[in-house]
Amino acid sequence: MTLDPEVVRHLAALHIRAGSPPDVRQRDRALAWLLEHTDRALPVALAQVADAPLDLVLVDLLGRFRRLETTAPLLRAFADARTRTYAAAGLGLSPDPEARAALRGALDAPDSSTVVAALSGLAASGDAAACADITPKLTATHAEVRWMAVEAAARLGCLSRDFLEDIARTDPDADVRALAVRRLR
Amino acid sequence: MTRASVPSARRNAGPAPRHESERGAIGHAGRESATAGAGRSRSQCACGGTCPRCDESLPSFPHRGVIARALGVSDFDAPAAIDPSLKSIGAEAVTEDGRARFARPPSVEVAAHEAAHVLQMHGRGRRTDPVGAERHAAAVAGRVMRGFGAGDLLGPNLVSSGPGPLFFVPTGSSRMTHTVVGGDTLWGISLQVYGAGRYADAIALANPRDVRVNARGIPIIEPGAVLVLPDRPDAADPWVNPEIRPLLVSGGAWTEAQADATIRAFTTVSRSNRDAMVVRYAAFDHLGELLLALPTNSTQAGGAFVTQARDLLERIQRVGARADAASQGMASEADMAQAQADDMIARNTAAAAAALPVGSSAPTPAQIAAQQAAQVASGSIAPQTATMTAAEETTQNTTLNTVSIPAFVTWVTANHPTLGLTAAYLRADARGIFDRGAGIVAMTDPPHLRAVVGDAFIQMVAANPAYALPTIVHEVWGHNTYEGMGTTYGLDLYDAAARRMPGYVRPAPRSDARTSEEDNFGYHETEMYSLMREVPYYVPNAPADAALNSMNYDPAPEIQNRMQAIKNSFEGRVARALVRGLYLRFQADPTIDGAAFLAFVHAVPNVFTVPADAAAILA
Repeated sequence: MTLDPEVVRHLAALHIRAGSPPDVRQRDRALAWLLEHTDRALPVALAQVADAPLDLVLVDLLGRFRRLETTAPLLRAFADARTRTYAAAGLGLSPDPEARAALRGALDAPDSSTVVAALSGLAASGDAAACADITPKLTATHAEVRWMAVEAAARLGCLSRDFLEDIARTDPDADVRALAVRRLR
Repeated sequence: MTRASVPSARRNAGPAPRHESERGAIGHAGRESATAGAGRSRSQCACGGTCPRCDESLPSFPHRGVIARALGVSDFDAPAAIDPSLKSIGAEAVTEDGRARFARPPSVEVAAHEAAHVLQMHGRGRRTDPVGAERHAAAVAGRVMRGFGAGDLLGPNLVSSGPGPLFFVPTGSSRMTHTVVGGDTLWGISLQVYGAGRYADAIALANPRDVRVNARGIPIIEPGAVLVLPDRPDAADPWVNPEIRPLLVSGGAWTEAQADATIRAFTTVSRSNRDAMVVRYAAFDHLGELLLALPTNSTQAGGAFVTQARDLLERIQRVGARADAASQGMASEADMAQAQADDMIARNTAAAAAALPVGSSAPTPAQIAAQQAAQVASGSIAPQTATMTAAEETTQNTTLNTVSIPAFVTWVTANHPTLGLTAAYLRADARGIFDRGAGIVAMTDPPHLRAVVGDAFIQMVAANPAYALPTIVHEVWGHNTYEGMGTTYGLDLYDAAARRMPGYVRPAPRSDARTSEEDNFGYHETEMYSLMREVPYYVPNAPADAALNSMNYDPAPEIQNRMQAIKNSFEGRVARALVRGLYLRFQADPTIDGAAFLAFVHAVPNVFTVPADAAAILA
């Protein structure tokens, strides 16, 4: 299979690892081009991620396409701790109901890092319908889970101001209280 | 000690041949690698002296007649051979045990230089320390090349082994002298010392007691008179100096003190004079040796000579680009700008016409100008979609400060000590890096000369600290060295071209539109340099570390991508001239490793597919 060279060139630019402003702008231009040419870029990105399933940049890109075809590779990436955070965001952005269901299902995972990632994915979805899944985690025993639950719930507008004030006063974890205070501003 | 003679072959890709004091040989190669432990080993002869093309003995020493006449002897001969494998190690010639080998049929200068080494090894001339041996050989070669006698240089008293070479003092303190012999003229002395007879008057002025003028107005000098030779007979060109000019014109072994004084003297004259000096001396192709003789790392960001070296390198780049432009019919920078403007106008006109409904009349100037703005417009910056918790941030910063950064510094100190990297060059900011996007390894931290690092750095150092080093070098010593707070030639040409475009209004400094122009026309060359700085440090991932492939990859293909971007952004002839200028600049830049330079060289024919264009760039 011959890959579209222009897509390959933009994918290479997307992998710029230097984070100085001109470099980041170069990356962003490449990203904008790839998203603008999704029909050309998606097959190439899918082919590349098949060879490099742990490529964070590709996993991040797949999610931004917001296409059904990305669900399978994103689910594979979600299963690996090294790519889970970006895969979760991509699953959250996906229009595929299966992707959203996978995130909801992961909220019951035994390890907190998976739950945190799932919450961040639901936050990325921008869909207030996820509030019902998120708010129970505001009282989780693990502080990092509560932190992400507050972040996700606040971002989706699930929490009233009174509720946030209560968290800011009473949560036992300083980071969670600080987040609630920031969200109140 | 190394010596460079022929530009196209003298850049090596690793350590220079060892010196005579180590193995009884004197090699003439290009720059020494600035990278200790870069892991590139080389042999003296790639085929071990057995293959047909290696070590072909010559029937006699090259240019033996010329050399013999200059030495004042009836004949000169010594074993000599052509050994093309020397090219693979960047060497032009080597003399070992009284036998010379040349990478190719040598010039008179190179042959005479090796002849001097042969004579040194046979006890003629005064062989001293390595620097002295090189200076002696360079002096002999310089004389022979210019057609002067060199027999006097073979006397034991004429090659100093004492306090070392005289230092070039640009403030005008005269130290060098010439003892007049029968037949000498001021013009001849001036030609011999300064390379041009026109400084005869300066010698006369410096020696009023020893130079008298006869009734016909002709200056007279008597044999035995000791004439003081002015250090700086030309106020506009401090490099017209009996100590320095031969090095700049003929090459040779620089001392650090000479290089120090020379680069400082360069900055004492006006910009136009500096341009004139570069035009005058760049043709001899020894300016890189001057920079190479400065202390290690002194010409990169944070070094004592970064500003002076950048000034010189930028002029080399621009002089080279202008010369190539002239060869393509663009006589001046204004012509280059006009060619670029015409090209942009044509592109914008075509784009504006394409954007109009079919059957429309030609686009208006405003529509054309709008196309220019659109073509340099930056895309919107994509926000981060993932989220980092406060606990992750704390954990990563703790790991960075207590584990990753100390481990990295320890590793770099042990493996690349010449970099001088300390923990002060690194700062932990997990969230700052996370917010820049997936896979970002490091970013600059202005105004400090240091790199900010985060999670990717942790992963890379844990796997192998070598994986992180290229990006750290890029961020600390890449862009900061190349452009500092200044501009680039590409951007300057764009600005000059844009001024010629109808309807163009230059965006305000630091505005998004101006930033986009800088990214499109100024960024590529500085990024290319920064990528080239990465090359000597790149280590491929081990199979077990494949997960890091998106963060640790070979920078060489990216160098080609940057070159392609220059070609795409500029009018064809202007692009060629720009890349030609970059070639000359990188060739002279001591911070560019041999392997990095080769990556640039290899990219040229891939980007400039017309053979004549590639050949012109690499000439």
